[in-house]
Amino acid sequence: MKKIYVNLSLLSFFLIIISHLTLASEIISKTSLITNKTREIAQNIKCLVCQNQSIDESNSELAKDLKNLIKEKLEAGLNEDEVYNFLSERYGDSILLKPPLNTNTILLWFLPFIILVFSSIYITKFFKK
Amino acid sequence: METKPIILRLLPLIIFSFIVISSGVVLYEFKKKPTKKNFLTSQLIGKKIPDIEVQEADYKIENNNKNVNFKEYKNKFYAVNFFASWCAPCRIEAPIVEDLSKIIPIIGIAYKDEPIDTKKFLDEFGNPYDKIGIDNSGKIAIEWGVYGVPETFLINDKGEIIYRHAGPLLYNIFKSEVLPIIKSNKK
Repeated sequence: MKKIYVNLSLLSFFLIIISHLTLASEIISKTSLITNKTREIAQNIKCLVCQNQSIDESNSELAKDLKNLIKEKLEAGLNEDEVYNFLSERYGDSILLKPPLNTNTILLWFLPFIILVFSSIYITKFFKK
Repeated sequence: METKPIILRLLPLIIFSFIVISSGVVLYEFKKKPTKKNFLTSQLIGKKIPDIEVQEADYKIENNNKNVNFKEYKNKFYAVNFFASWCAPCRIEAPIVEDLSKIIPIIGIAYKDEPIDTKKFLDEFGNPYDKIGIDNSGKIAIEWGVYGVPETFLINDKGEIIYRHAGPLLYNIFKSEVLPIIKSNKK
């Protein structure tokens, strides 16, 4: 009888250890997932007080605050799109390094292609002459 | 002699005209809206003030758990000014903020500042603020779409942000932009 109690105690001890280890590994993997996601988002967010830098590359105060906030938002359960929306609602689409395609940015996206196509036609015709 | 089709001869002119017209339209849009004169115009213009709790500073009591009650300013025209004692332009704008406080109430938000330094700053330049909120982490500034200090916002009686100025509030801006907005909105 005593042996059964010892075995049961040992079993419960190991079960507790295993469950704690599983929980710890889950927390670690969730933390690293959030850290990676934060970096990924930060690479697509323009540093507003620097030149040609993303907030991931910048050490400015605002960039640091934005990175912390992105991390907190992800930890709170917001998804990537919700984080981008949160930032563009406050700083406009210009904070995004890849501005979305809408009526305000249609020229920005297509003007280079239009110029390229027309210039190519013109140059081809010019040299064919 | 072979001649180029007219469309090809006019192509450079068409492209050039297209670029000139598009640039003209963009510039016209900027000129049309007075708030867009400042290229750092806020995304929050026309929207309600951010719904975020701001801890109120009380330099007499060490631990103050009170929050700035923005609801007290309901139906009032007021300003929100982000400042810090370590910010040099905040010292430049201090007299103008003082003048502004004689016309409308101002809520100051001390951005990433030590309370003792904020107190010294207010003792030196005067306290133009009706209430002072504390933003130690910079989160409140982000909620307001702030780039850095100083920044000033005008809030109308409906609780909507109607103007934002990034940088020190200088007399020319105060006279040409801030005062006309206050005059046209204050009843």
